[in-house]
Amino acid sequence: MDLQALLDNRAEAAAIILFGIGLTTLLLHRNLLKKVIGFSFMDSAIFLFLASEGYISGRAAPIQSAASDLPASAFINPLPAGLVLTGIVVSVSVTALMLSLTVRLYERFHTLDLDRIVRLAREDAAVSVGAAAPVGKAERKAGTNADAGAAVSAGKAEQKSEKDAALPDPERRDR
Amino acid sequence: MRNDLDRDLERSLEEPRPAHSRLDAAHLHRHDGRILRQEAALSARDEQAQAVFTVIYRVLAVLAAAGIILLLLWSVTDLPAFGGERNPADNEVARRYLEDGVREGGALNLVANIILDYRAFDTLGESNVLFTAACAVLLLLRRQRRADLPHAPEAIEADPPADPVLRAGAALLSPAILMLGLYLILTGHLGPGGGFSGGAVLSGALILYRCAFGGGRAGQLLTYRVWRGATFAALAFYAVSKAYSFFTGANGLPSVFSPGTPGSLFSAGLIPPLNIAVGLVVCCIMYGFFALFRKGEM
Amino acid sequence: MPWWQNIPFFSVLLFLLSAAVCSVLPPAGARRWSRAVLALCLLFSGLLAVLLLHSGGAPVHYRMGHFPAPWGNELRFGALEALLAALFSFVMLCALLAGGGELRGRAGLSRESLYHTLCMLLMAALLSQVYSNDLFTCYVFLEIMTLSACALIVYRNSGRSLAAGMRYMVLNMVGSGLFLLGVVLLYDLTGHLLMEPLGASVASLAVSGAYRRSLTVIIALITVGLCVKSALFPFHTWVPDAYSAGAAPSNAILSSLVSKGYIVLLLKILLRVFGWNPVVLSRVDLLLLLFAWSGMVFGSLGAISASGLTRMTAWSSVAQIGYIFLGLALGPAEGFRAALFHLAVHACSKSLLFLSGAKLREAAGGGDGFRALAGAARLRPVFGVCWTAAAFSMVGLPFTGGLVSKLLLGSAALGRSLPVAAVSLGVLALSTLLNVRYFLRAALILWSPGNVASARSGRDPAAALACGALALAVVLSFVFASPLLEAVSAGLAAF
Repeated sequence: MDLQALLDNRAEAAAIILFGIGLTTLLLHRNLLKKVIGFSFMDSAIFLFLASEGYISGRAAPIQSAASDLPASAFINPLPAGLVLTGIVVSVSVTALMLSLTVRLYERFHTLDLDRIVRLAREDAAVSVGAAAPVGKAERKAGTNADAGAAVSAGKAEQKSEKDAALPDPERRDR
Repeated sequence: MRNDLDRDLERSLEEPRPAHSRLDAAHLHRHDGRILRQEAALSARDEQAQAVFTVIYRVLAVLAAAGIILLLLWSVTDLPAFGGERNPADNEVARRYLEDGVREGGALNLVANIILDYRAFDTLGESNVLFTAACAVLLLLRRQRRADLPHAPEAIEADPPADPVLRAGAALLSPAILMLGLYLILTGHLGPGGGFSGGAVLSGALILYRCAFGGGRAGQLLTYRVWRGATFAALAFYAVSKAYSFFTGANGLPSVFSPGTPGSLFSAGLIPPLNIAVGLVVCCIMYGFFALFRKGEM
Repeated sequence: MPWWQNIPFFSVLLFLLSAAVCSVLPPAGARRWSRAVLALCLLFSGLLAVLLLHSGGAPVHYRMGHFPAPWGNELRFGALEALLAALFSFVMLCALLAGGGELRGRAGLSRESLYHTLCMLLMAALLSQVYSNDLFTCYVFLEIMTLSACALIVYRNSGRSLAAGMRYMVLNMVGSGLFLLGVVLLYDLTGHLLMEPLGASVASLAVSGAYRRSLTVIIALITVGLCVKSALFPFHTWVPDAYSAGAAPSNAILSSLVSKGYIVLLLKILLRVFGWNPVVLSRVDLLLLLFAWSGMVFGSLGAISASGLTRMTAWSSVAQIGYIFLGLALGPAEGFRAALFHLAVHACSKSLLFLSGAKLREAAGGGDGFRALAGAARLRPVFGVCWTAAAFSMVGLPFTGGLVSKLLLGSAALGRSLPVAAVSLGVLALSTLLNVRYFLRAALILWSPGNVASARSGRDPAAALACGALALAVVLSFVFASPLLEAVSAGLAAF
């Protein structure tokens, strides 16, 4: 890896590192609040990237003054600034939605661990109608880390837990 | 082996169960001892397996993060130089925004020209993203006062006590912040600012007022109906005015809105009214988020 | 400029305005308004499609504003975009008609109005993705689609739907993040956001060999980002919960519309921005093939072991998305045509499965397990027949559109190299057999003269009409397959 090139593009490199950290936090952390923080990291990293690619050294912010009319070569690229504006609003909206989901999930399940919540939600559906659904080991395994890249094993374990739940064939009511 | 299981079973029956695991309670009440013994055995083995799994998982997670970062850094080394003058991004697109922005759009703030005139469709979408999130948060967090439960608790959080420092500070600062927000919105086309930043500042003033004086007094001014009406009016105005602008532009018809003289307050065509609309939307929705998160109602 | 070229712009703006309007109307008014607007859009999009097919092949560029692209926004449409818009309006209208009963219920609250608001926003986003020619506009409306789809899942407010909604958001935000990073990197390299200049720049960069590493990474980022969002294997873990936890119209809308929007966007980007050759060079098409094959098999396996009708239907979506991506990965012309045809057929049949399945569940007393549903089709024969037609289409039996799409996929596979063709055909056959296994079992259970629970005899003419229309569409797509395929090919040429 060309370290000099990385040092020249410091801002972009920092943005990429933050993006990677945010992405893995969002995907692999089990705590819901940490997932939201990871998402925030990820999006901020993209905005940092976008802002740094609009910069041109030695030039000013793209606001003309009424008095003098500066030429185009006096300003940085204005388009990334507009894109970052849009992106920030989108990021805020998504954060608000995810946080409200977190609040409701906590009220309902009293835990912030997403794997536990998914497990409890599945057991909930089975138990709520009074039918016996033995919580097998496969289902527990399927609950942990079902969102991460270990999709094949998660998929197989999920199928096994579906079979476990399907055996007594509960009558699910609409909740 | 059987003794161990019986001992585990007794221990699990004695331990106080945490309040939320009513599912465990359901298990306890079942008369099928086989399931209970299975549970106890499983939980012992499970804990061990979980511990090992957690360690492996953390190592893999760090490796995955490192892998993604290295892959992306490998491509960053290939990018145009930071701050360079001959970057591909600095092409005829950016040049026209800078050179002709004031003449065609009318605003001195060249970024406001871009987001509210050239690429206004994107900003329309962006306001609607905010609106979508507001609808979703409303669906999730809004508590309805049920007619059959007149004595239901009206609020999740009690109002804050009448703190003299907070109240004095808020009484002093809220009007100032309000003025700043209005200034940012109204002169968004003349300098830095605009609907989004001004709207956020405005909502800050309202949130501060609500924090200091409680939801009762704030609620008299900003009820759900007022909120809904304001958001609807602003979004509808944006959609209708931009529809007119898009239609006239696409069909080659002249528009009644002209850029005007750059630098005066009433210039830049549709940009100041759109700034106001966007500011109103952002202010209402950010305040709405706060109210819904805090109390579940407005 | 002829007046009908204003139709796409008009439909998008109408939906955006309707969203704001529905939020202030009472539930009954919102219901009527949304149905009226959807019917209007269906009518006009159909008209637009016919006019565009007649006027020849060139795509129309519509300037959104007073400034030409690349400085302003632009819509670009041909017959294919208009057909897709009509299809999406049709499916959404049927979903709202058939599922309306389930939305009603909590008296006096304005929740139902918000549901219609979200549907209007989803339609606006979907249409913008189909029509828009600008990458960043597509990103913004993509986010609208994601947020409104999540809200539709959690509308029901049960623990299961909340958990499903959270898992949906997490994975979709991963996809959005990857997609946005790809777009941002692409802007850094080319300075354009509009698809045509982007395509020209990418082509010249590919020729000159500059930034080759970054281009490969960008193609991978954008493709994987959109694959994560459209629930291709192995990113499908959120699908069984999300597609079965919501109310019936939400399930129908999510499975037949939301995922399709992302696929159409991916197709657009692959064709207009990258071109097929760089994609092949960077081996992304092989990656898509692998994912598609695995999805087709694992989705069917999941459906076989699913507990309950709705969950089975949700798992079969995983397999069907695999079919569409198989067509996508098999390359331009033949493969894309197969993918688009299957996209259309799947949109109709999957929503029909969810909507008629919900009605059958209602008739059988509300339980979702197979034992509870025995004989449900005999209680409500109209919905039973519709469900069976949709199931036959999923399997690929004659007289349904599903058979045509399977044949198209097979012939597209034959046009590729021997190992790819052999594996594709094998996986197609295996997946069809697995489909038969679980759909036939479900059909037998539904039509069995078994124990009939409380027969709720509420008549729902709107739902019957909607399900009947969808079933008719499924059958007609077989009967009129040739002209439809010609239209799709003509549209693809101008896409």
